[in-house]
Amino acid sequence: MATITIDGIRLEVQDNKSVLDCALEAGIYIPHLCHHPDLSEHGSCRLCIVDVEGEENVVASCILRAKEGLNIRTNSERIGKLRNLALELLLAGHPEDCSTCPKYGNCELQTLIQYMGATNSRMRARIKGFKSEERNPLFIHDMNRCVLCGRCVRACGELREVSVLQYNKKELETYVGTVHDKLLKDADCRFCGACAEVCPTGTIRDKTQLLSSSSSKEEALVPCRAQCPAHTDVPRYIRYVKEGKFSEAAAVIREKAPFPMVLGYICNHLCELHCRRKEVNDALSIRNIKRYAAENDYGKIWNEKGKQLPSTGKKVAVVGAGPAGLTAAYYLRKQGHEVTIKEALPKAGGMLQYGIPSYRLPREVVEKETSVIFDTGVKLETDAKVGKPEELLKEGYDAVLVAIGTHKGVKLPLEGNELPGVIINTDFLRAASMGKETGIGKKVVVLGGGNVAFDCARTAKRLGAEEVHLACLEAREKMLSDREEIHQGEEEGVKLHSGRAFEKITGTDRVTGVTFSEIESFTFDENRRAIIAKKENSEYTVEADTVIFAVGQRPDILETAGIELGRGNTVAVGEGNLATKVSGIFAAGDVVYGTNSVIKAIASGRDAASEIDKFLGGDGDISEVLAPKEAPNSCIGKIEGFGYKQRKESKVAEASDRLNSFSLINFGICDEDICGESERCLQCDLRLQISPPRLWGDYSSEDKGAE
Amino acid sequence: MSILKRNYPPATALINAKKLGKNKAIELVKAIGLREYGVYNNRFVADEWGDFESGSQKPEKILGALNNSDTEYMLLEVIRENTSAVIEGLAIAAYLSGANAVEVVLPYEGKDLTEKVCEAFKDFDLAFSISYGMVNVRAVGNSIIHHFETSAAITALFEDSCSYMKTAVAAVKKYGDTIDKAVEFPYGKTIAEIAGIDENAGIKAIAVGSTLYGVSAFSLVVDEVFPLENGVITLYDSKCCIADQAEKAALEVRKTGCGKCTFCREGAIQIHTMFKNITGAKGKATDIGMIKEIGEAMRFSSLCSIGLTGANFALSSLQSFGDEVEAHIRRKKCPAESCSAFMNVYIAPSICDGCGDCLDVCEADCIEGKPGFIHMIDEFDCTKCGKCIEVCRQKAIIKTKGRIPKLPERLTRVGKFNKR
Repeated sequence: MATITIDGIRLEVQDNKSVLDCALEAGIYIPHLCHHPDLSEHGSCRLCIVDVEGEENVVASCILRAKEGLNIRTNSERIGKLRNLALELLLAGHPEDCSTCPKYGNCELQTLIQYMGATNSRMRARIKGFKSEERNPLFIHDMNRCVLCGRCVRACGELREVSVLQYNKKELETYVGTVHDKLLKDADCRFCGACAEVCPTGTIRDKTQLLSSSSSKEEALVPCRAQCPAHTDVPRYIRYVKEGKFSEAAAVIREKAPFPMVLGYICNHLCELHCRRKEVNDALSIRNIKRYAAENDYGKIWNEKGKQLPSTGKKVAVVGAGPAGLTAAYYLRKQGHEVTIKEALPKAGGMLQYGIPSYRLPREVVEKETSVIFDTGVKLETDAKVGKPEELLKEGYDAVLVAIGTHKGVKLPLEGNELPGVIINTDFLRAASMGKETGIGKKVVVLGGGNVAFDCARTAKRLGAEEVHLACLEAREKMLSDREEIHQGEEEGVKLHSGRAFEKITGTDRVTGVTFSEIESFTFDENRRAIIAKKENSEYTVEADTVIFAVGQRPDILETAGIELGRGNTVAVGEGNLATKVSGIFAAGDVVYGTNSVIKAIASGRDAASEIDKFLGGDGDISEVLAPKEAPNSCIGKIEGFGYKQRKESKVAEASDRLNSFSLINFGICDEDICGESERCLQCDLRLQISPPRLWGDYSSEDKGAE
Repeated sequence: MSILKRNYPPATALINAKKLGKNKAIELVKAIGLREYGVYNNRFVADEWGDFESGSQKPEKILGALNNSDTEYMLLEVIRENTSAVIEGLAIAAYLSGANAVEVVLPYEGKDLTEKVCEAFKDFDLAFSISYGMVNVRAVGNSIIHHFETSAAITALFEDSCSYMKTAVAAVKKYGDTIDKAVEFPYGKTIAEIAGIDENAGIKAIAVGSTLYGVSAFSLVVDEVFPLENGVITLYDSKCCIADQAEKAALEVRKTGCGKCTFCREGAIQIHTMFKNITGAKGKATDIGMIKEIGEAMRFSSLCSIGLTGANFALSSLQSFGDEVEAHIRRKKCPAESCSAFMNVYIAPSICDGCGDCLDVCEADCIEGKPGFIHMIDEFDCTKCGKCIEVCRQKAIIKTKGRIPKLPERLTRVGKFNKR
């Protein structure tokens, strides 16, 4: 330890510590620009200069080391002049267009100009004349704005050991670039964003406007985690997979969702759709990585760490054993409540059991993961349809959760929609799942263009339909289904009629076909009503003996149930608390917001568990730490050809083999590919570990607080 | 002599130093008052080691190098001629300061010395490395850097401390010529003696390292605190414009600097631009003051010798030749008659034969004319580049600092211009 004096204030500091750090930590502001708390000192900008007792010249406080008896002044006339001169010199080559700069309001240089009041008016100002480099994915490099503080170069070299950025010189102008001015991808950049994070000016910046958008910086920077309805910590489990720690990875997933393997098979993976890697080449195969982790999880990690609070003596009834109900039941049980699930059908799982065909989601997987729920002591009553939830309260339950999903398919108001041979998606898929007679013939037309429509079409194929057509309003590229479904459906022989208006179902005492016409344009007006312009004389009829409506589902609930219903027959709940108007009755999942994804239902189930726990006197904190909390290694190093590493796809069975049965068709990512695929992750979250800048304004407000 | 040539076999000095033991050896260096050579001759060698002696920390390495600001490489002669002494000096420094390794930093211009250096290291049991280019001062914070000349002097001192005499190496060149042979001389001689010149040699100015002096500097005595820097003494005759030389010196700094320190990079840009404006007849009255303000700050605002000495030429030229530089601004004249921006270029109407050759080479496109007519130069756009003068077979194009005679105002046939 050493005693030093800064502006008359005596400080006890560590020997050899940077004097600038000593001052800043003690709340004494010294202007600085090239200094960054996470990086080595550069000593170049000369804004942090101070007078040292006994020294003739001023010294940069960042490279001045604390030693016993050091006495410094942070301000004097001479210091002021030299500091201003340093800033004037920096500004001589910096464009004077703060107000149009994308960094306006968040620029450290701008705050220094405001603090010191310097301009470039005494200097011979110049325009550096670099072309703003916008060909790289994710980042813009505008070297005209660069003041050469060197933070990006140090961040790339020291924090990441990637060392892609360096000082270059062209026609006597120094700038930051790559070797031979290569594009970042060719220079083996890891696209971690540390450079953009530490840049004090608008020089290296994200193409995504981080601050102008309504989302927070974290949401914009780590979109996989932000876009997941349950906010699964994607980068964290991907790192574990890369290290071969699959149980740890599964534990990370289980911190937010109790069905990792189910999700690994059929999640609609918003994470993947928003993955920043897609800007570099292709998105990371996140769902497949999750599936691999779940399939290779031997449970040792999360099993031992899950929480179970002591019994509260409260009883909760959950109506519906789908993903929302099961999730809510699981967390409510962990909070110490006694939970009973009432399921109308013979088995638990909801749409996992009776909706999604087993060639996409094997039922063993559903049973394996639902059994985890019941292992905690959640009770299940099957074939127990609940008509009036309120009666459960009278039966002695302290709270009821309605999570019945949307199991009632809808028909469009179309001529012939009552003819024999017209069936509905939910009924059809449920019957198929249960192995019952579905009532389809040899020629089937499915109306609808979402994933459920494809489930129907491909199930019909597997049940022996000779000809299956699928027709939808949307043009092919605007169809709501996954691209994968369209591709595989067509491989299996489903005939696609996209961009079609449904005119009528023909037939007198039975379906004989469907008449379509071609659509020229299809939009929605402000009331979300479809406006359809048809091509003249484009009508044609497809012969069929069966028509399956797959144009959406609604909750199977009646007004007589005694809870208020809203748009589309959904259960109306309070904003943010999932409570119905009837005290003690809550709702979650599709029944609240209409048909949506499994992961959204899980997130909703978690919210409901938390709300109900609070209602029952708990603190509502259902969070669990299942995976080890390890700080990730931010030193990611260089990987040759990183930006060009191809996305690894799953192995899929041949179409001819698929049609014979309902057995699984997608085998996920293979053992050889898993490590390489998870290595492709940009680890966007590492950037959030970098210390944010502290501007002079932060110090003055702190002073006021102290007074 | 001692720096360029050793008189004892390799390892003699190190053995002597070891015989003395660390403390006594350091005492000896202290007593002699041996200083660092080059830009940092304000530092005592023993103090450089002593900085580490006081703390428990030991220096990581001993580096041997030239000053980064040295772009003449004359002093490479020391390591070229006396390789073993330079290496031995570094080995002694490592022994006395407690460093475990030695690194030799050769400029790319001295890459051919690699083999010689490796050979010389064979006499010492020491971890060593060789790197090329400049010393990255940001990466060697915990090391000691010795000039090759310092290192050779350390060896000379320990070879025979009784007869040790302090000397330095210098060389002379006329501006624009190549450097003469490096000579070693004992401290105490004057510049005139070292350079072998007298006041009648037609010399207008003299630069020692990065500092420019008037002829009065001939009598300056070179001792161990004199800023000899890279040891090159440059002589300028009366045809040299000092402002032009200052511009060139600043440009050299811009080319050499790594670009990291603000004052070195931006300061040199400002000084260079201002001198360029001054020689280009676009100087402002405030430029002189600005150059001084920036230059004075540069003397202590960079991490290596490039920035620290980067303004020396500009500042010393203003000090010794202020009037000449200011004449460019205040009187719109280049006293040396060298800066072309202050010259007038015209086509003598009585000589021009209207051939059109000048018109073709003019890059500024400021010559008007057609075959058989007297050509005319638009003074406003003319950059005084002189290309037309070179190409004119009639020698009709004249560059002068004096007045322009009466010239035709519109295109006139050859031979028809009436002087009156």
